[in-house]
Amino acid sequence: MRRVLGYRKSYSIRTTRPLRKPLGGALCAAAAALLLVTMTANPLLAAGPPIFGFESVGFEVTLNGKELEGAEVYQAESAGAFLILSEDLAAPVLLRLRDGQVETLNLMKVNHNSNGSVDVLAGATLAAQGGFQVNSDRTGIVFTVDGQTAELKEKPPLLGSQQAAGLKAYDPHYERTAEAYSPSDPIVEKLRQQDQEVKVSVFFGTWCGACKQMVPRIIAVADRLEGSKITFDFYGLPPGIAGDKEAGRMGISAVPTGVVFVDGKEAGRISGNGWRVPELAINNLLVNGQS
Amino acid sequence: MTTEPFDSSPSQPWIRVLGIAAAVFLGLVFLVAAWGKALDPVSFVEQIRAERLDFFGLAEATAFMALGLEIALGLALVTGLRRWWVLAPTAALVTFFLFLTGRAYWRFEHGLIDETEACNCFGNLLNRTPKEAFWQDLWLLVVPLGLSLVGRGREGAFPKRRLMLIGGLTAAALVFAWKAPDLPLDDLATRLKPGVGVSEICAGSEENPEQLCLDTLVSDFGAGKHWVVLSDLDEPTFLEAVPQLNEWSTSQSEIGLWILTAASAEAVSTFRWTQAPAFAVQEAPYAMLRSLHRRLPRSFLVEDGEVTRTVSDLPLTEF
Repeated sequence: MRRVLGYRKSYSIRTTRPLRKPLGGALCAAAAALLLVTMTANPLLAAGPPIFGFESVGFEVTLNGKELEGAEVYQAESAGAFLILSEDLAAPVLLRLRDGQVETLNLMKVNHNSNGSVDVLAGATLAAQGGFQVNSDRTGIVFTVDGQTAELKEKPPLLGSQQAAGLKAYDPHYERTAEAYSPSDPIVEKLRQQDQEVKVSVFFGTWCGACKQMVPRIIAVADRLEGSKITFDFYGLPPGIAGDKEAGRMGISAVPTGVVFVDGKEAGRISGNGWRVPELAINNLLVNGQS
Repeated sequence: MTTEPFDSSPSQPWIRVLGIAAAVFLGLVFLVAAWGKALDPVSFVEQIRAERLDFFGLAEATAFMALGLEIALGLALVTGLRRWWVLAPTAALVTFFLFLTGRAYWRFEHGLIDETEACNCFGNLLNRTPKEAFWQDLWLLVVPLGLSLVGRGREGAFPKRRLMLIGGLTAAALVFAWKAPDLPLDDLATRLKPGVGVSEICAGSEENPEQLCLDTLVSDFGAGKHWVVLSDLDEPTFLEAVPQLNEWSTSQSEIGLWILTAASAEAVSTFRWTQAPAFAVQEAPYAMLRSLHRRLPRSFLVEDGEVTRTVSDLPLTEF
């Protein structure tokens, strides 16, 4: 059993199956008839199809211009839908992008699975809220929920010095993709045994397409090397790299670029194809001076 | 007007042979370069614009005139014509090419452009850094040009027939270039063809530590089957097909579907919000994708890290 988080009221929901109560056949039929009558009478209500596999994503939500702290945003790519859960919203909000529809639904039909994903169960009563528009800077969409203006948009770039945990918190994609990468055990073991103080400063951009693929692999290696003498620091840069002071000071012209310091002195850099196997690149740099 | 031969001494026939061989070689270099550009004239027109050589805003006309000149001079040199009215414009053209590659090299050395912005003088057939382009052109063009001036004999009668042949072939080549975008020549005209490994599709040269290849960018391509569509995300045919691509992508999980794009971050974001793709949209450097297509969309199938099939449009019929 899991508690649905983010709401003042908590509801107990089974992990894999919809909530069911032992109802008699007559009661069941009456409830269905009532639902049918309600929906026929109110064209803004409809019974939605189930949508499975919503995954947590790193987006932010504002309501009347104010950020909703603690809002949970989930995306089901296959269905082209987003789901927003927040205690500041009267009900979960379902955005079906392909249909251009914004709807609210009953919380009882939102099921949290043990793997962190979320399902919208069959028969959820969807209350239409209207359509949506892409916002002016193309980073998200604006819509109305219960007469209030809401916005779902990409988070601003993560800037400055960060730890791996900070990246995972910024966007769960980093954690999911990192988990999918398995660093080579022998190389990791070799790296764990080396006795010099090594710091790998990874300059990256949350806006950079290549970084989205490569940084999770580096995070996976950082996770495996936790507790060793090799530490990682992730430095987020803005889209105009050249304008950033730290990037200028370090001579960073492309991301992701890793600057490897051994006992406080720069030993070399890793970039481009060097990140194909990050643990190998670090090891090569420490052993041969080249990634 | 006639020109005095550099050396017409019958005692040194090898000098004449050397001169002819050099002219033929230079002509072949021109023709190979023209072939590369004729296969993908749209890209050549873009290059003319990028180099700001589109006089009076007529980039297409400028491109076709330049192409015609290169072909005509190439044919003239290959057929052994070494008259002053061939060699003078040849020297001018070589000087112009060297100016372009030299300027790009200077800009690269001064950090004004990156290494992927070299002269695309051979179309998509060669990927060269600004430094490589300059030094290769210097050796491939200047040396044979200099040698083609030696051992020229007395100029005889006006070569009317040869000129007619050259004119005819040049006209035919220009018609070919005009029609080339509609001809099924993508595999020939680009670096993307069956048999190419994803590790060979790169942005940047091997010497560049920042070189990025497709196998690093998308490690998933190393195993399994993946259809990859190259797109700017705004082609009408692509946008119309998005629902079909979504449906195919969600209906099976054996074959991956990826869109590789060099579109701006804003365009990618707009696409995601308006189309809600069920497939992966991966941003890639323009330098990586530039030599993989003549027009968009273009698609290819990757199996275990190797390109096994290419499609000049969307792979809808393959689904």
